[in-house]
Amino acid sequence: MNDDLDALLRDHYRRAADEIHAGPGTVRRFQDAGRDTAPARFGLLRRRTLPSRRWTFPLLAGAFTAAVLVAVAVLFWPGARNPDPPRPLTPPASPAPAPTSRAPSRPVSPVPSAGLTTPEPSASITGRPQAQPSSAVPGSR
Amino acid sequence: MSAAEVRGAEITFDDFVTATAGRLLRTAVFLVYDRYLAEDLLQIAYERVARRWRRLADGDPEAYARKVLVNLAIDENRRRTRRPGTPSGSAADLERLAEASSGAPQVPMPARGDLDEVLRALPAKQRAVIVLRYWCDLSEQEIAETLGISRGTVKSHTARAMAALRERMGDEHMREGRA
Repeated sequence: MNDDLDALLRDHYRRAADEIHAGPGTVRRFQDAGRDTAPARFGLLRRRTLPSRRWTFPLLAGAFTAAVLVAVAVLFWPGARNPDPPRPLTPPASPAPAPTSRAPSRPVSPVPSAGLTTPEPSASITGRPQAQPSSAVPGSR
Repeated sequence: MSAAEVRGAEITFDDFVTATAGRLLRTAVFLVYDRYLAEDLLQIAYERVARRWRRLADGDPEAYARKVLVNLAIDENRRRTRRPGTPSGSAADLERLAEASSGAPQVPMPARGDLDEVLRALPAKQRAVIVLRYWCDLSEQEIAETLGISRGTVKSHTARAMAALRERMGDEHMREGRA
C-alpha cells in the first residue's frame, strides 16, 4: 500500500505538472522583479572574487581583533591599575642633612628637622653675657 | 537547464530565472493550489534571491529559492487557515476575489480530483513535506534543511500525511467498491 501510494503521488504530481507552465510573460515578470529589487547586484560570479572585496572582511576583522587585544593589554597589564605612589623628589642638598626614619614610600613633604632650624646661640658658645635690662631706667642701681 | 546545471554554474540572475521558473512555479502551485498566489509567492522568492545573488550564485540558488518559497507558502496557508475566506490583502488577491464573484473564467487548476482534495486538506507543513518528497524528490535531510526542522519531525510529518492520505483514499476505494 505504501509503495502504491508513493507511486500514485509521484504520478499525480507528474501529470499535474504538465499543465503548469511559466510563460514568457511570467518569466519576464520574475526577472524584472529581481532586477528592480537589486539592480546593482547582478553579474557573473567572477566579479565576486576581486581581491579587494575578498580581503576586505579579513582585514577589517584582523584590525578589530588587534585593537581589542591592545585595549585588553592596556587595561589588564599587571600593575597598570595600581601604579606606584608618587615618591617625593630628593630634597635639595642641605648643609646638615638630618637622618630621617620615615618610610620612603610615604609621600610626605620634607619636614625640616631640628638641625635645619636656625640655631639659637647658647650662652656657652658665645661666651657673651646676654644683655639683660636690669631696670627700665638707665643709670639707676 | 537542470537543477544540477544551475548549481555551481556561472549564470546571471536572468538565466537562473529562465531555468528554474517552471519547476518552482509548479512547486508553488502544488503548495498553495492557487496559480495567482503561487506566482506572487514565487516573485517574492526571486526578489529575495536577487538581493543575495552574489552570495548565492556559486552555491545552490535554486535550493535557497525553494526554501523561501516553501516557507512563504506555509505561512500563507496558516494565515488562510486562521482567517478563512478573507482576502490576503494584496491587490492581486482582491482582483482574484472579484473575478471569482463575477464568474469570470479562472486559471484552471492543474489536476482536480480526489487526491488533490485530500492533499489540499492536509496541514501546511505536511503538504509541504509531501510536495518536497514526491515532486521535488528531496531526501529527508534536504527536506529538513528546507523547512528548518529536524529529520525526526520530517518523518513524523510524512507518516501523518501518508496515514491521512491512506485513510481518505481507502474510504474512496471502499465507497467505489460499494457502488
